[in-house]
Amino acid sequence: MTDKAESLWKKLQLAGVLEGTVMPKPETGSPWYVRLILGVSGWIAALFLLGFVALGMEFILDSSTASITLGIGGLVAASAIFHRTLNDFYEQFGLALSFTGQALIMFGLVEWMGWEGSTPWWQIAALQLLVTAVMPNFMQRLVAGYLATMALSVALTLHGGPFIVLVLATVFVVLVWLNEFHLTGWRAPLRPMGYGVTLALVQLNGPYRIDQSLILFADHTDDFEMVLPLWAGNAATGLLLVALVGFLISRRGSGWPLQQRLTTLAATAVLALTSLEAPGIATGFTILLLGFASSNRVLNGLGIIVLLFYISAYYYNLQDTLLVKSGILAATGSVLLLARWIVLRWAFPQEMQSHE
Amino acid sequence: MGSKRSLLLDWAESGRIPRNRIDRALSVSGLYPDSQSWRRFIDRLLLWSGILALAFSVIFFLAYNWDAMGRFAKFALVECLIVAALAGYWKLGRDDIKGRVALMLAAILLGALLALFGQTYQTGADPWQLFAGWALLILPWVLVGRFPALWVVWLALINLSLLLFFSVFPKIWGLLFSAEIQLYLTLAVNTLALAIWETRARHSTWLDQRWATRLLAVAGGFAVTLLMTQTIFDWQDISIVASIVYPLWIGGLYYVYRYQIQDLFMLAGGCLSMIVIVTSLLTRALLEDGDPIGFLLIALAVIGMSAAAGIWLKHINREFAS
Repeated sequence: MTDKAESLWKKLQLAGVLEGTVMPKPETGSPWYVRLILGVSGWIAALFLLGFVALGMEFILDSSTASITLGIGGLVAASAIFHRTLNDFYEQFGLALSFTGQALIMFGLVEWMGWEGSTPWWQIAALQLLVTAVMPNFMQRLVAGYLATMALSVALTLHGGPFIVLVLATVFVVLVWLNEFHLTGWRAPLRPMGYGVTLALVQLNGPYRIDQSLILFADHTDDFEMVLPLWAGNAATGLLLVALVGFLISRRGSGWPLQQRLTTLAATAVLALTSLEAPGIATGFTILLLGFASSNRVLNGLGIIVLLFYISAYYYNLQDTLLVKSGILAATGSVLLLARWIVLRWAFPQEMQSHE
Repeated sequence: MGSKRSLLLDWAESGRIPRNRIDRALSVSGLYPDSQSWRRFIDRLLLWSGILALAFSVIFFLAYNWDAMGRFAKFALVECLIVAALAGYWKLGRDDIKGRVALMLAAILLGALLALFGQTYQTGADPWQLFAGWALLILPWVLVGRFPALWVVWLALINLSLLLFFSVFPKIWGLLFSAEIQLYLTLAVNTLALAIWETRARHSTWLDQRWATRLLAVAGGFAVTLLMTQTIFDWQDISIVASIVYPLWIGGLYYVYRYQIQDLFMLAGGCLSMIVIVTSLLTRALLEDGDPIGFLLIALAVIGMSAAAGIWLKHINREFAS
C-alpha cells in the first residue's frame, strides 16, 4: 500500500497537481462490507435499546412529550459522541443511540399527531435530513439518505406524484457521483448520502416498491389524482441518461472526434427511448455509467442489481400483459444490440476484439 | 483500484489536491478510464443487456401462454434460438465474450424450453424437477464453457432444486426431513462448491473470481448461522450437531481466509455471523424472563462486539495491505 501511495504521489507531483511536498501517511480505510456490518450491528443494538425503553420505561412511550424529549436527548448525545471521534466502541454506541433516538422521536410524533396521510412520511424525511446535517458519521448519513428518499417517495406518491422522487433522486446521484472528489468541507455529507440515495434507487426500481403498492391502493380512493403522468417520469430518466452521457463526453472526451461524440449521443438517445416503457433500464445504465466513469465498483454492483431487480419487478407489473411486456423487452434488446453495433462501428472504429 | 480511489479521496479531502486541480489529478492518476476501457465497457454492457433482454422476452412470451400460437411454433421458436445460440458459441469460441454470452443465452433458453414442455403437456412435474432437470441438462455446457457466471447460475439452480424438493417431499421413507436437514444440505452443497472452487482456482486463473466465491460463502454462512441459531433457541427439539459443525465451519473460514487466501470479505462475514450467534445466546440467557435490563446488556454487548470486530478487521486489512 505504501509503495502504491508513494508511486501515485510522485506521479501527481510531476504533474504539478499537489499542494505540499510531504506525502501524508496513507490510511487503510474500511471497505464497504466492513461498514455494512457495523451499520447492521448498530441497528441490532438500537432494537435492543428500544426494547429496554419499551419494557423498562413504558411511561416514556405512553407520553409523546417524554418520547420526543428522550429521542432528542439521544440524538444530541450521539452527535456529541461523533464530534469527539473517540474510539470505535463509542462510535458504535453513538450509532445505536442515534437510531434509537430517531425511533423514539417518531413514536412520539405518531402518538401526538396520529398516523394519517402523508404527514408522518414528511416528518420522517425531515428528521433524516436533520440527522444528515448534525451527525458526522458515514453510516448514519448513508442510512439517513436512504430513509429520506423512501419517505419522500411515499409522501409524494400519496399526493399524486409518484416517480417525482425517483427522478429527483437520480438527478441527485448524478450530481454527487460526477463531483465525488469535489465533495470536501461542508459538502462532505453528500457522499454517504449519495450511497444511501443510490440504494433507495435500487429499491424504487425493484419488486418491493412501496410507492407502486400505494398507487394501487390510493387509486381506489375518491380524492386521489395523479398530478404527473407516468410517462413523464419515464421520459425524465431517459433524458437524464442522455444528459449524463453528453456531460461525460464533454468532460472526458476532449480528444474525441465529432463523429464519435455525435454517434455516442445518438445511440444513447435511441436507448433512452426504451425508458419510456422500461425506465429501470435507464436508471440501471445511469448508475453503471457513473460507477465506471470513476472506477467505483460499489456503484457498478448496484447498477447491475438495479437491472436485475427491475426485470423481476417488471414481470409482476400489472400495467401490461406478459405478451406486451415480452414485445417491449424484445424491442429493447434489439435496440441495445443495435446501439452497440452503431457505437462500436462509428464511435470507436477499431477492430472489434472482445477477448478477456 | 480501490486503494487508489481511497488515496485520492483522502488527499482531496485533506486539501493536498486543491479543488481546482482535482480533475487533472484524477486524469493523471489513471482513475478515469481511457478510450479503450470505455470501448470495452460499452461493448460488454450493451451486449449483455441486449442478449438478456431478448432472453427474458422469450421467457415472458412463453409464460403468457399465447393461444394464437400453436405448440409446435412455440417449440420451434425456442429450439431454433437455442441452436442459433450454440452455433454462435461454437463459431466464436469460449475466449470471446460474445461466445460466452451466446452460451449463457442457450442455458437460459433451455430452462424456458423445459417450462414450455411442462406447460404444454401438463406432465404434472413438480417445480423442483424443472430446476433439477435444467441443471442436469446444462451441466455439459457448464463444464465445457469454463465461465464463472454460468457456474454460479448452475449452482443457483441446484440450490433452488433442493429448496423446492423439500417443500414437496418433507418425508421420504417415513423419515421427516426437517428444516434442519434442508439447511445441512444447503450448507454441504455450498461449502463443497466453495472448497472445490478455491482449490481449482489455484491452478485455473479463469476461476479466480472473488465475487463468485463470496456468493458461495454467503450462502453457506447463512445456512450454518441459521442452524446454530435454531440450535440455541430450540435445543430441546433438534439435534446439537450444529454446535459442533458451526465452530468447525467458522474455524475453517478463519484459517483459510486469514492465512491461505487472504480475503477480508470472508472474515467480515464470519464476524457478523459470530455477532449474531453470541447475540442469540445472550437473548436466550437474559431475556427468558423479559427483564428489561437484559435488553440493555445485550445492546451494549452488540455494540462492544461490533466495535471489536471493526478494530480487528481494520488491523487485518492493514496486515493484508502491507
